[in-house]
Amino acid sequence: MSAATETVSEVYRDRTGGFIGRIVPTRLRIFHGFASWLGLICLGLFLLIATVGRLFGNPDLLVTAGAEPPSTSHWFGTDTLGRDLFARTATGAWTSLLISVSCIVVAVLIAVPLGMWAGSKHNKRADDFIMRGLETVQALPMLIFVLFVLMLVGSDPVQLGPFTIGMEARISVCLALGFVPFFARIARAATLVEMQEDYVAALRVIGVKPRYILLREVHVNVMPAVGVQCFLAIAIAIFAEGGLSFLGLGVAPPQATLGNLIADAGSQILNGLWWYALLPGAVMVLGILGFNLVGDAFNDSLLGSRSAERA
Amino acid sequence: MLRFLLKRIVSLVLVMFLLVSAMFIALHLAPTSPVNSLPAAVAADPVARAAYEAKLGLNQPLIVQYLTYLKDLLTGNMGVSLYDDTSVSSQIASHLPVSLELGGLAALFSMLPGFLLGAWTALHRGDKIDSSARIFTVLSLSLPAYWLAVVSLVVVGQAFPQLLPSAGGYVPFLDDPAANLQVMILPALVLGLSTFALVARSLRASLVDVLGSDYVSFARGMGMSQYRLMGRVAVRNAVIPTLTIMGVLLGGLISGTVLIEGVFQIPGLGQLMVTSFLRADYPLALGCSIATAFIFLLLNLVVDTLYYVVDPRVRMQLSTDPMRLSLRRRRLAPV
Repeated sequence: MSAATETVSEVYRDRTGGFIGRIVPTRLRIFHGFASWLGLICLGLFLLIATVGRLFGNPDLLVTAGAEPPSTSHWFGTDTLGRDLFARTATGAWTSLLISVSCIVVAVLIAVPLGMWAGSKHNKRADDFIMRGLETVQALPMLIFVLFVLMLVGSDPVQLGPFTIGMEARISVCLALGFVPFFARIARAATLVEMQEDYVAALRVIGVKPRYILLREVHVNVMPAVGVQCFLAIAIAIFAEGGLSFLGLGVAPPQATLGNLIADAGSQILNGLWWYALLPGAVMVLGILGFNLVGDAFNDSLLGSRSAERA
Repeated sequence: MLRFLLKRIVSLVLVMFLLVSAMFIALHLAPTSPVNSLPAAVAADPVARAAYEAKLGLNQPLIVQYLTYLKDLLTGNMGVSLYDDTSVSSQIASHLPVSLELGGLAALFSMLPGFLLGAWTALHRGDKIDSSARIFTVLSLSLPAYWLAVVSLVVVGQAFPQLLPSAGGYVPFLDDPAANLQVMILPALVLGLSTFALVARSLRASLVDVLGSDYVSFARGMGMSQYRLMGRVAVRNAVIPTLTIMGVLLGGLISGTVLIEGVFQIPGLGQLMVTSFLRADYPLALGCSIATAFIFLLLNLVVDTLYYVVDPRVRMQLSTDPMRLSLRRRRLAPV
C-alpha cells in the first residue's frame, strides 16, 4: 500500500468516523391503505392483551366451579377447571411473544454474520460450505427440524453455571436455529447486491480494509433487508411456537401458552365449549395477522422496487 | 434435460447423505440416550445396562455404528422402534400413504382454486371481489392450521359428525374409497387453506406485473384474444414466481400434516412422527425425519423440473452454463 492511498484511507476514517451513511428518504409513509392500518390495530390489540391484559386476573386461580361462557366478570369465560380464560390467554400471549421475539433476535445474531460472510466470499470455499450447510438444514421443513433439535436437547432442566435454562429459553433457541437459514439467505443475497455497488469498489480503491467495508458500510445496507423480514418472521415464530406447544413438545401444560390452550380445547371438544376453542386462537390470529400486515407495510415502503431485484 | 435431471439427482443424494450423517452423529453425541429411558432399577445395574447397550449396538465405536446404519439404510432397514420393537421401515411404509393422500388432496383443493382466484383478481384489479379476496387471503394466511382444525371440529363436527374420522374411526382408502374420502375432505381443506391463499396472492402479484408489460400490450395490440393472451403469454410468464415459492408451500403442507393429523385422528406419518418424538423413540424419530426429508427433496426436484419445462430461459442458461445448478433459491422459511 503506497503512502498516498494510506492517507486517503485515514482521511476517510477521520472525517467520517469510518461511516458513510446511505441517503435514505426520511419521510416515508409506511402506513397507508386499509390493510396496513388494520395490521397496526391488530398488532396493537395483541400487544395490549399480552402486556396490560396479563395484569388482570390470575391464570392459575380457580374462580368458578366449572366451565362458564363469557360474561362481564370473565370476558373469555372459564375453562373446565374454572380458571379465568382471559387471564390464561393473556399470559399465554405474553409467553408466546417473549419466545418469538427472543428467537428472532438470536436467529438474526447468528444468521447475519454468517450470511454476510458467505456473501462477501461469493463463489469461494467458505460460501460453498455455508450454503451447503444451509441446504442440508433446509432439507427438513423448519418445524420438523426444530422438533428434531428439541429431541436432541431433551426436556430435563439444564444447569449452566448459576443459571437454569428453562423450557422457554430452550424453545426459543431451537426455533432460532430453524430461522437461521432464512435470515442467512437474505443477508447473503443483500450482501451480494451491495458488494456490486460503486461505493464498495471506491472504498476498496482508496485502500479501506475489506473488514471495515463489510462491517461498517455494507452491514448498514444489509440490515434493512433483514429487519423488514423480522416482522414476518415473528408471525411465523408465533405460529411455530404455538404448534410446538400444541403438539405437547413445547412449554409444559400447567403454564399457559396459546398453543397449550388450543390443544387443551381440542381435547375437550365434546363438551361444546365453543369459547374455549375459539377465543385463545383468535388472539393468536390477531398477533399473526398484525405482524404479517405490518411486515408487509414495511416491506412495501422501505424496500419497494429494491425488494424485487433480490429474488 | 437428462443431464439436468442427473445433476439434480446427484445433488439430492449428496444433501440427503449430509443430512443423514448430521442427524445420526448429532443424535449420538447428544446427552440424550435410549439408556436414559430405562427403568431406574435396570439403568443402575451395570450388567443389565451393558446388555441393553450391546443389544442396540451402542457399545461399538461411533464410526462403526454410523457405517452400519448407512449400510442398513441402503437396504431399507432403519432399525427397530424402542417402544414396541416393530420395524421402523414397515411402520413408515404403513403410515406414509395416508399422509401422502392427505397432502395430495390438500394440494388439489388449494392449488387449483388458488390459481383461478389469482388469475381472476389480477384481471379484475381494484374491484370489489379483488379487495375482498385480498383481505380473505391475508386472513387465511394468518390462521394457524391447528387452531382451524380444532374450531372446525367444534363447528362442523356438531353439524355434520359423519365428516369426522373420529366418529366412525379412520377407514383406509383401499377398503372403502367413499368413506375414506368423506373423512379426508375436512382435514384436507383445513390443511390447504394457507397454501390456497399463498398461491392466489403470488399469482395475482406476478400476473399484474406481466399484464402491465410491453409484450402483453403488443400481443393485445396485434389482436390476440383475451383467452389466448392469458393462456399462451401471461400465465406462462406469471407462473414462474409461483413456482419459486413452491418449496415454501410444500414445506407448509408437510408441517401441516404433522400438526393436524393428531387432531383429526388420521394415522399418517405426521402422527407417527409426533408420537415418536413424544416417546423419545430415537430410531423411529430418525427414520421419520429421514423419510420426510426424502419426500420433501423429491417434491422439490419435481418443482425444479417443472421450472425447467415452463421457462425456456432456464434451458438456455443451462446449455450455456451447465454448472449453474441452483436455479431456485427458497426465499421464505418453510414452516
